[in-house]
Amino acid sequence: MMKRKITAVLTLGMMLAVCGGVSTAEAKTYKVLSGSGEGVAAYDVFHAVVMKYQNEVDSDFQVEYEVISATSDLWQKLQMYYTADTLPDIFAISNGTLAEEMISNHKLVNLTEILEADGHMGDVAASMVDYHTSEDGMMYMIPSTFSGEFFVYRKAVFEKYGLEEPETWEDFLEVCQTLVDNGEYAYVMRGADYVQYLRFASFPTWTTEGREFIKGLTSGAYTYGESELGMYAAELLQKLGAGGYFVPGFDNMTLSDVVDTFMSGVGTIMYANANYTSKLSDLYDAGEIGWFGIPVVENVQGTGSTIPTHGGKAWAFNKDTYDNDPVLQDFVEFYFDHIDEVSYDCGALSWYNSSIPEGKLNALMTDIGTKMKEQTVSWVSWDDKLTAATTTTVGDAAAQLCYGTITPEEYCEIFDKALVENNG
Amino acid sequence: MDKLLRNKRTILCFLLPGVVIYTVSVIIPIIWSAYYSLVDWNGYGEITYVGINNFKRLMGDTEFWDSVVHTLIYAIGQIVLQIGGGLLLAVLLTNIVVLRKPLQVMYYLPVIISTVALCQMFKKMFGVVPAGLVNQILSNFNPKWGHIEWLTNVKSSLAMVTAVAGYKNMPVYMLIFYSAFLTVPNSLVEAAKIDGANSFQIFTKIKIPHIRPTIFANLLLVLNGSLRGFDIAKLLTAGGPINSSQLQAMYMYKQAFSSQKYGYGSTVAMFIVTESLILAILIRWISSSRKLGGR
Repeated sequence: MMKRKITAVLTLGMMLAVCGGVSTAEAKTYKVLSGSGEGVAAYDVFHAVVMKYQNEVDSDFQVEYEVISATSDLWQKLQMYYTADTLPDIFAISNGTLAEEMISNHKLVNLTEILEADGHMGDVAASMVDYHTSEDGMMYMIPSTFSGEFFVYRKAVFEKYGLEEPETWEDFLEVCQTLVDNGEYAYVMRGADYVQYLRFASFPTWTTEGREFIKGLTSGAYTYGESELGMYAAELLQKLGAGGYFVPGFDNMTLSDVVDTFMSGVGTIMYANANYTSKLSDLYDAGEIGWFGIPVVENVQGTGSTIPTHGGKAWAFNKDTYDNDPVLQDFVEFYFDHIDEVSYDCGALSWYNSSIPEGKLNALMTDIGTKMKEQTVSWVSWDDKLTAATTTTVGDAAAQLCYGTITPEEYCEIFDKALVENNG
Repeated sequence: MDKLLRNKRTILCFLLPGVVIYTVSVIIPIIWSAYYSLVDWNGYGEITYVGINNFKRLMGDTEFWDSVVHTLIYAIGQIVLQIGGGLLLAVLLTNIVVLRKPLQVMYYLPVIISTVALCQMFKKMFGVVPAGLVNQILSNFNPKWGHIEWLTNVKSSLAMVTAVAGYKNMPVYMLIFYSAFLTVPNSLVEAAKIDGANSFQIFTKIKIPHIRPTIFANLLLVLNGSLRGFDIAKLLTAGGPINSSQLQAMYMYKQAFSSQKYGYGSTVAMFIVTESLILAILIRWISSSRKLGGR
């Protein structure tokens, strides 16, 4: 009798397990590799679309996030997934050699085709199309945020010394010199990594030629040393370092250290991005700070774009999953239909070309965002275009140039040698 | 029981798990690394066999050799701080009667604090703009001292990394030495006292020779840890400014992961493995040599 009871219980258990197994297989959980977590616009906006989709379309739609905030760790993990052929269903990605490799191996969904079919292609801001369009003219990734970069300055200090917002690099150096001569800390520099060094090294080439400069360089049309713009940028970096314009201890400062230092009242100018506008908005509303775009090269025709815009760590969709999964196809369509309103609801600037609704964003973000939407040429990040090895070498050399341990000519030589040795 | 423990199968059963884990987690990765050191690979593209080219390149790589020199300086600093400092603290502890326990806990605190938190603490303490605690205190004596760049000066960054790493790990060795001192037989010390030996003589002639094997074991551990030093340098100065505090393990990471040169990064890794092995053999040889009273 006892045996029969046990057998009955076991059989029932097995049947339940089998039924449970079937039901689990039906409700697929989509794996998302994110470059940011809760509280960051990129994550919040994406998650808000997921919630909206669950509420309005499919309550069984489930996602499981893997968040890796450190950029280099994120790309390493993505590379590992790609090498092992275990790419997540949706993942953060950036332009560059890994993305190109994935595109050539048909691992990414062609989003231009979907945006066109849905009638949203014309809605995407011009600079975001420019930023995410790959060599074959298609977009395989979409912005996670519409981000822009700019200089922030203390108005009172500028007024005290009769300084104007610099429009050219010559003006910028003059402003810094005046500040230093008057005992002020001119510039709060991010020196803990090579990002800001490379920004300065590429600003003059970007405002003048957009992505053409780095394209010509990597294709071998000219060398860095031969190019007037290249030498101009190298000399600019050297002058900034030699001028003593950076706050002491800058070499250990991360971006958040820079913002915290500036917010604590130290330094006159800093470089920030749109993610920090909420932190800066009180100072902006009180009229204590102003902002300006990237200065241009004097007497040289530029592209007209002076605010580096980019899409953060972009989103891409796994083609293998997408092609065989109507639910994911429906979600992507839903995403494009609702991203504009959801972005503003989350207090983030939408990457669609729509005008900014009143009261949705703070004054600083509204002002910068309006200007960002007018840009036609997006930011050209060198680490996307150069190989990782070249970027590391050039980043190191740029820091040395700033410290005055190498000359602009030597910097150019290192740059050109790295390009040859690392094939781009 | 004795019979069971003499059984070869029993011995094998006890040894096997350790051997398997060690082989999988240490031996195989080293062999794998040795293979990668002979190729050129960015982690996802085509793997190209380059023979000993990576090793040839390593020989002429000035940034690498700079990192080796930094590591050797760092290692010497660690020996002085961790072995010397640990020994000193252990001696103090053995001689202190009052407040021994609280002091023991206090000395051990740096080990308990996470490395990330500890480095953040030191970054704030030695900050320049805004001025950290150290510079604020120093500026009271001389306003110029308030602007000393402890962490971001090429001349002091490596010393700072060495000091913080020493501070963090010194208590581990303090505890080991303290335990070793407790094993010194009281009868030996008493006999020496009767023979007229003073405290210093008891320390140098009785206690130190008695704990010599512990000293050498610690030396080996400190050296091995120093050659693989990475976390504190990475968190405190990121190897900067301009690579002045870059250690060899950081250079390996930079090549393998930042530059995506897995082949060359593995070559650096192989160098570190060989270097560690040579030093370990050297220390074993010295510790067992007759001159030093080894057996």
